[in-house]
Amino acid sequence: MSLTENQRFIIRLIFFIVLAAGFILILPRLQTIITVIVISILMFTLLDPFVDKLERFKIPRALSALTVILVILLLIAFGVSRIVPLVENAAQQISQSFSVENTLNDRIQSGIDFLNSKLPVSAITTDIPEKINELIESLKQKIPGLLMGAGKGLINAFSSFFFVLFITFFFLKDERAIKRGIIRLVPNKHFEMSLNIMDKIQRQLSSYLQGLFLAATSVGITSIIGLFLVNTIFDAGINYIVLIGIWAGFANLIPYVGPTAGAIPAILSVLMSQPPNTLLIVVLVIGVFAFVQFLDNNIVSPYLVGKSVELHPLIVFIVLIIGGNLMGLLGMMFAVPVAGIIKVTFGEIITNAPKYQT
Amino acid sequence: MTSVLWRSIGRKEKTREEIMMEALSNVNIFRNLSRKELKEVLDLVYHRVYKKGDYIFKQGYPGNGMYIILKGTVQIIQEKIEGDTKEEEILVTLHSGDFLGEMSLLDEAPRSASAYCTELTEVLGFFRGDLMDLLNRNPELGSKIVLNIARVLGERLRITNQLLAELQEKQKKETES
Repeated sequence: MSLTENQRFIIRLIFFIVLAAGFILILPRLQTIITVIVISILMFTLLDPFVDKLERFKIPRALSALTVILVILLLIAFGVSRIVPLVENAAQQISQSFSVENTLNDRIQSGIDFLNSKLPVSAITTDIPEKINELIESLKQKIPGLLMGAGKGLINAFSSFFFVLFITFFFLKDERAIKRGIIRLVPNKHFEMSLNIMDKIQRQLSSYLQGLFLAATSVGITSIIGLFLVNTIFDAGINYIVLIGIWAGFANLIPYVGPTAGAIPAILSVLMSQPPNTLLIVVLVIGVFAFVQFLDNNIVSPYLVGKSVELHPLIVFIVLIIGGNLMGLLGMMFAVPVAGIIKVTFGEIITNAPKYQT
Repeated sequence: MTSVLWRSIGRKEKTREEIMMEALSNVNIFRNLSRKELKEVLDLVYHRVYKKGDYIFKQGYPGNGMYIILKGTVQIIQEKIEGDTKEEEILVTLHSGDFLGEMSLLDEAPRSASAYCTELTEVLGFFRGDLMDLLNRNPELGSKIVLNIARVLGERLRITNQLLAELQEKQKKETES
């Protein structure tokens, strides 16, 4: 019994709906593994040229991939060992400067006293300071639980990070075998087209991600230089310049929000150290970040990242929200590169596929 | 009789890899490569099997790379459109050991003809993206291949020039007479 065209269509439709429903149901459970794979693909695309460069010196592919992964691991370990004490110090300073229990209660109490003295009757008799104390006490009780949660999160992050490195290593080592394995599944009819599109996507993505990475590095370095100059010339007393620069570089991956987020720690550092000409220093720090952004937007990014992966501001806004919802700050940082990957992929398919239709 | 027996005992069956290596070494763009270099190229090629009646590529498709025929027969067919009529002309029939499309290793110009399999055909495909990748990773080997392509193209250009000169000579004689 042969099926009619309509029956075949209905069967395909049902199959598609079941498949889509299954995928939607499974997706939340697969979130971690999908995230790990996406980050591994990003890292592979970024690191592949370095492995290729090592291969030029007749170093076998596996050894080249291992060397690159070990260098990354060492850099991260070195960075963490340098940054963690800095973050610890900064956190201590901040908590000292903004001691919640003392200043907040004092300020609120003085505000209430001021209002009561101005009003004819003692209108505000609420026990706000006591309420705040209660809140702080309850928070103190919750802290062990929160720390446990944070500890678990940290362990998860570390295990995910090692998974990422492990998967990236195999992507780098077996790149050609993986590519051939994927291409083997493609029917003859679409073989040349798939190969051509895959190749173009890989090339575009590699240069795009390297551009993003270099632009972020340039933002970090120029911020450090700018802040260092302000510190040296005006004796501004800005602490943790390197940390602020690294943060500014990472934050730069988040469009629109990033530049501001990068400047905030520097301004806070000025406010905390309270140099004699605080206002001038704050203005100078803002000027440094504005100049860094000017350089990045007009010279560095157009040259390194190029216009090919330019995303519409509305799209950027939407992907930032999605990234933020899925993975918080990390999600916001990866949102634009992932959106760039999707744009390049579809762009290449749309541009090249029609050339193979005759 | 004895010698045949001994020959068959002494002879080893060629492995699939050896067959592919041999096919590669017979193509002039891989001719002066060492065994190690051929092995590296072998890591980059794609083995494909086409059924009778399949097209390896069609006229007008963007050129992406070359194919070496391991087994089977491929017709190179050019489609000519004159007015409302479409005509197909078989330019050449290629067999095992022949290769096609090597010009596409250099640019993405559309294929000038289609490659049609008249029987079950096995091919090895070598593509521009992988050649560019090879130039980046192993410039020595990559440039050897590119130089060989240049030699093949130079040879073809010489033949074309010769044919053109002969044609011009013939035309000149015809106008004189």
